Amino acid sequence: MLGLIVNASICASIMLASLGFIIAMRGSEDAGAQSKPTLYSFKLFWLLVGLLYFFEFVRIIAVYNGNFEIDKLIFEMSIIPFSLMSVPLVYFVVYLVRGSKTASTIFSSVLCVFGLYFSALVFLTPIKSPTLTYWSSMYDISDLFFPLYISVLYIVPILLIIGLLVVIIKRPIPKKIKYRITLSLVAISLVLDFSLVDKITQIPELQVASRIFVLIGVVFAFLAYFPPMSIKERLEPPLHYEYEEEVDEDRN
Amino acid sequence: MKIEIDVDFEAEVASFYQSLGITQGPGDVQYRLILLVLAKNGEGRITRFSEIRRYTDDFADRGSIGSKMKTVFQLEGLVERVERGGYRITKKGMIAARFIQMTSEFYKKVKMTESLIERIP
Repeated sequence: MLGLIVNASICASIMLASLGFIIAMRGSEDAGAQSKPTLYSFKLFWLLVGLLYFFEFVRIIAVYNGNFEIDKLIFEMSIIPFSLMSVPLVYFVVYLVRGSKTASTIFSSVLCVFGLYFSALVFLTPIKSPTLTYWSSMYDISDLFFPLYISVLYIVPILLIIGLLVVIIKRPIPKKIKYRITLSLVAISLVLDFSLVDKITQIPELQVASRIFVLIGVVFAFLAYFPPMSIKERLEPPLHYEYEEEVDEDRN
Repeated sequence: MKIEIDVDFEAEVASFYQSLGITQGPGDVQYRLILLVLAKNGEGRITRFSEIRRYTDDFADRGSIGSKMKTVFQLEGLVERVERGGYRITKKGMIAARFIQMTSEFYKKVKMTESLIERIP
């Protein structure tokens, strides 16, 4: 039973860290109007991550109390934020590159339809009873995942992230901004990759390990926007420098 | 090489280079427009002075364009005067025109990067 508590604590940490990150980013709202759509979609992504792990947390608590009906219901509900995570992400990347709200809305709407279809598929398909392990209860729905989720909801945002990384690396962008966006994208892809592993794996230890990586992803996102002092100093050279007062030799 | 000439865009590019301290060549809108009109007609065709003035009349008088043709373009061998009011671009002039087009591409890249940075949250 200790395994369940450890697993629940990891889920709670992810949830609190992502919500804390959203709250900490409130100050960035005064940024230019151009960056608002990307900021809101970025926040929405982390909100969905928080919501996903909130459901996982509640689910494990339900298992701990032996309430398997609630466990199954919450598992099905957790598929909604999981499958919709790609939507704000695609909006974020497309808007960042193209700068067009229409194009990003169209792309993200297509993914939203796929996400909802996928959620409906999970809801409507009878799921086998879970396997209760030391760490958690494991549902096997991997057959549903591979055709739809991986080919659309996973591959599309990952390819977009790789494309954006290439664009960012090639462009002459200030170090501070390059650091921020690169680390954010690495954090996002960590979360996206390991939340997928979390959902499809049938090995409980791997599930716990992937949740730890998701937590690392959230920490990376936090570090991207709030870097430690040592990194901050390297990214932002001091504006004023010490100088020796020039001595006018002729006057002496 | 097909050349489309947009006077407002060329003025915008020139003012960008001027802001970098480059007031001659890429930073001079008259130079840009004259060269682009000449390059549009190519090495084989004669460009009439009146054709150049169609693009430059809004912001430069006849005298300053004529003087630029003489003191910069003819003197440096970018064009040759083939008849009264008729010029033909040389190979050297085509190189200069290509360079001016490259400065426009560089300007577009800089602007794209700037707008990308603005959109980063």
